[in-house]
Amino acid sequence: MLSKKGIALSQLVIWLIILVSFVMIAFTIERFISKAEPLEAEIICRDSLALKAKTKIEIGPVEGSTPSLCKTIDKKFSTTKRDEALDWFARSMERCWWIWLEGRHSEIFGPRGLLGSDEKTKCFVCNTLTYNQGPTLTKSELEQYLTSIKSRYKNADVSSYIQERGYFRLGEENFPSDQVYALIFASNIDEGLWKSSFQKLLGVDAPYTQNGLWLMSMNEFDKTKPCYYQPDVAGQ
Amino acid sequence: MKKSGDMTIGTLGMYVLLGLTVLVLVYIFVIQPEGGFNKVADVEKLKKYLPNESLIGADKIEATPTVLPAEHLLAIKSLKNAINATLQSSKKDCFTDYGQLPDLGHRGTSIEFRYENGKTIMSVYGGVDGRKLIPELTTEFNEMVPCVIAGSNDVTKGFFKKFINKEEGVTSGYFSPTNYVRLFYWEGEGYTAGVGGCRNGNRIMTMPPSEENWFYDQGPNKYCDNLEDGGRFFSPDNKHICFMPTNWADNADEHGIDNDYISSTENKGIPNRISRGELTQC
Repeated sequence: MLSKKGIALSQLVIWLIILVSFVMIAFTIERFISKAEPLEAEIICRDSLALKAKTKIEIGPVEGSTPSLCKTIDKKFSTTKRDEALDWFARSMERCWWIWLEGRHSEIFGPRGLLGSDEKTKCFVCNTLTYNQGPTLTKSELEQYLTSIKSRYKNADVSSYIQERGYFRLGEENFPSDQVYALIFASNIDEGLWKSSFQKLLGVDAPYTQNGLWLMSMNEFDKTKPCYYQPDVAGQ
Repeated sequence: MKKSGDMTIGTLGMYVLLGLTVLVLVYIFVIQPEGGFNKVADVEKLKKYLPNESLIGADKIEATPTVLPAEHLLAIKSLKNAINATLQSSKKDCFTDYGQLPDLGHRGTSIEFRYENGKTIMSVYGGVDGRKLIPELTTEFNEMVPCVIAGSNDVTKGFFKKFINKEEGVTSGYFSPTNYVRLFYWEGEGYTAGVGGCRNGNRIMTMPPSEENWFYDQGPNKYCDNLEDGGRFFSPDNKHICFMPTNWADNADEHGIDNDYISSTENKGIPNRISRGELTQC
């Protein structure tokens, strides 16, 4: 028979083991995600989001789920051909939408605040797209390109693929080279542009209902902070 | 006698063994270079996750395509036809009736014109929250340049003298070319007679709206419903298509022309002058 001291010691050992295990698991997951190559990171992110959506539990205003294991992936590109540049942007958008489960799940970053108190969209930067050299693309060109190429995931063009359950917003009128762009998944929590409307002031403006994909310059993203950025599991 | 909560050495040993097992598993699966997690890094094994060209066509889009309200669709088609007809007309300094736009709706339909590479592209957005591009309504107008009767006092006063006062001597500078025009619905801050404020209604802007310029109160981007144009635009040369932003008080200021002269029954206003044959229809 163990004494009271012995019991306390054994409980301490159990807690220590649990704590050490958690720390090690968290450390190794973080280490693995941060070291992961882009393709692995995309797949881990998508699968973790699928798991997160499946394990979501809501009890009143409190919500819980497994974490998302996503990290921002940096991509670089140079070309002399307009079509290749358009394709690079369009395919990156399509891929980001696929990773984020095609916008199927609402409020994936968490619930809307009480009485719609969130002032800004919650978002995650899928990619930083460094467009080193190439022709300047226009918003209209990119819009038209998205409607002209077949999606790799659905029997439709890329524009229809994204707009099936969401929308895309090209935040620049022109996309010149020698710039870094942010490709952002934006959740369907409120967006700043409409927040000053009369209905909004009265608190009767309906919340937005769809997820979106935004493409904008990194400078503009840093300057205007159009959304609450959700950091990834690697803390980057 | 064994008390509840007492732990035998055997139980303690079991917990220690469990902890060691966890540590060994972490080592095998994570830390060891050829461990389980690291095997995932083998890209060859991930090929099943890659988009497969043979999958193209496998799944169809489930959602129904975005459809605009019928009256919006009709109005946009009418606008498109009116622009095409004006670009093909040979008349100068003329006005075209494109049909009154219905209220485009809060988070509803919006129409954008962009001038680039010598042509203007019209894009239409609508659907849920007004954010979806409607690709089938995208239209290119070759050699069209968008413009507005606004932007400075000189422009609007020149226009007012030439077409409303019918004064001689104004030969240029009575319209402002622009690279961008957006027509959309403005949810106002509430209008009270005698007090002021803004009414709900269609609005025109010549810069893409953002948080910074949403309440911009200069030039044609007046912070109000400012498209009481009576469903009419102006063209000086069958190349420039000029929308006519309106204000409520001044005959002509940088925001546009007094709506009384553009869309209502003011004797020397544009509708009456057109009906009397004093102004040219394109």
